[in-house]
Amino acid sequence: MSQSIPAFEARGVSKSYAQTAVLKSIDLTIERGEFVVLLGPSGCGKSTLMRCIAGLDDIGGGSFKIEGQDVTNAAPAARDVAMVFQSYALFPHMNVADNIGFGMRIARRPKAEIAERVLAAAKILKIEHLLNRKPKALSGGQRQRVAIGRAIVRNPKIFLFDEPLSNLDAALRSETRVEITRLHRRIGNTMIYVTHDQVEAMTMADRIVVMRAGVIEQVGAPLELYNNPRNLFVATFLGQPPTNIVSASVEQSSSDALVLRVGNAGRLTLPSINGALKAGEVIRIGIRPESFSIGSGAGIVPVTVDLVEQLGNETQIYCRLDDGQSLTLNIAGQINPPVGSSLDLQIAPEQIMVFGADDQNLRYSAKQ
Amino acid sequence: MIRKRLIVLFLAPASLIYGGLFLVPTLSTFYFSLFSWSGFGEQMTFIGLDNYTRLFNDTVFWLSLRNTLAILFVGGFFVFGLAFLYTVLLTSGIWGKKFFRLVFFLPNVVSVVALAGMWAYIYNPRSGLLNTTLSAVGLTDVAKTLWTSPDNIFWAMLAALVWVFTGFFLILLMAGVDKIPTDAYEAADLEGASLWQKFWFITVPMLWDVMAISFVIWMINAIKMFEFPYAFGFLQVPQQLYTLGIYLYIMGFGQRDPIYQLGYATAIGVVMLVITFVLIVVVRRLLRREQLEF
Repeated sequence: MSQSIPAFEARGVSKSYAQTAVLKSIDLTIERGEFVVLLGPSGCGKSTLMRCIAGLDDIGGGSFKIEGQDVTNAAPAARDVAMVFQSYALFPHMNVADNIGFGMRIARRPKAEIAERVLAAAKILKIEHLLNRKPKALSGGQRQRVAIGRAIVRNPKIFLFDEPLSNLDAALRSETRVEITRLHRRIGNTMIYVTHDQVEAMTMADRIVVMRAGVIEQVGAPLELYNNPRNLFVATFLGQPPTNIVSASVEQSSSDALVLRVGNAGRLTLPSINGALKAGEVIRIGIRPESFSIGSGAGIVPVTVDLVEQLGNETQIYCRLDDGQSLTLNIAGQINPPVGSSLDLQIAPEQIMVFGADDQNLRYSAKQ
Repeated sequence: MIRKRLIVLFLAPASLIYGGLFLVPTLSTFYFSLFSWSGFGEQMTFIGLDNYTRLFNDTVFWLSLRNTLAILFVGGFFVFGLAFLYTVLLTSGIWGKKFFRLVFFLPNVVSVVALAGMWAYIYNPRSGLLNTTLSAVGLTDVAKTLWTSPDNIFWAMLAALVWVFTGFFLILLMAGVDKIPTDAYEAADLEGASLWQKFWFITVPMLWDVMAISFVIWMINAIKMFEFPYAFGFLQVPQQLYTLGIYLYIMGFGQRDPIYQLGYATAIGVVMLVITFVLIVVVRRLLRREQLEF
């Protein structure tokens, strides 16, 4: 019975600062043990939503439930959540052990119990040799572990991570990313993780919640979002390099096929979208950089090469259509077309996203 | 090299003025305290440590010292007690923080003499604000208190002094608290810390350097305390209000009647200097902590 109660539920949550709405009717359900990433650009409301979940900010409307209990108006400590702050928020005057054991100390737990649990958490994070050090004697990565340790030791119902990797250098970031994922597998608690970095989201999340301007744009597993974005924003926000967005005009739209003209000379034939578009309409299509192949035959688009970047395992080619629109290609392996040369690009029709006037993906298929 | 010479050149006038008008007189104090000297004329009689022996047997000196220490410790307790209390309350996220801070600081922008005069009026036994208010709320017995009687006047003055100084230290402490990152408090909120626990485990340790400097400033102020009790005592300061500073002044220059015992007065100055130095060294040592980074 208890298995059916989700770890977290938000219903119609809204919040405004003065006249500006930062969260607009947020609905979200998170199952127990899930690792959910809130992803979006700066100012999309993801950090605000996390602070509201923690109880650090009040909400204007709606409700929160944690494991079935309404915590909308509960004090932060009563929600049984632990948060890892972007700045880590370690207490500079306390050593690592005191930082990790702070919550138990103020709850007046016996010293032996505090020491035991602090050591257990430190062992999980491999920082047991640092317990007597002050934060200023720690590296960025070590501080980050201490902050996580402070969360682990409480064994909360939900872990909240607010962009915890943004202060680390690139190498340490990818290393810590893997460690947090491992930690999640090991302890199994529900985790909500805020980031603007789509690589973190794609690699860590069970499900990603893409947000923009206070609204949830789409929720789903990483590949589900990548392969089947609901709209133009989700399509461009996920993927690096970003999806190519190209203007195309509809030449034919019937129950059999959708024929598009791309640039002056390119023509693409796609599966039908049931006449949702009319001939002559100018629309936008999305093509992932890795959806191109170089070849000849039907459904080709001619381009001119602007710049080639050799990455060893793949080649990134920046090129232009004959009407000046730019494209980025990711071609597996090593090829080296001369700058200024022409290429014929082939694109698998089923991998092309078609966006209507309202930026919705006309080929989006909602899962039931 | 030229740059260094220029720096020396620019610093020279200030150093000369500081040395000539402050350092030399301060050091001379030790010398003059060994003489019987009116402060005027050439006649100086070397008497060795006699001035200090006299101080040791001078009940008025001991009264002044006791009053000075009472200001330092009792006054300090209340000044910092209230400043901390207001800091906690004003930084707890209440509305009107800046307004209240201004209100508490206002006494510091008014002349000390005017404030002392105002408090003398407040304490006036018959028509003063304090007793009138006490009568109005029905505390007629308390309202009969003669606040400026010899028994009460020092403590009445000290209460007013606390009122004057609390705002200043409140500003210092609040500036220190504003420097503490808010996420430290938020992390504590998530752990379930009470207002008191946040104050004790976060504010105090993270405010340590500001507290240390505030204590030193208060100590220097308290030991040299002069203007407020002097003005509070009006033209003829009663002995109950004597501080070391006042006693030094009176022995050096007199009140209505001149006394002119500058040699003796400088001995008091030397004692003040020694107390100040010793206390600062002790307090700095007690409050020494490693620098925090946040």
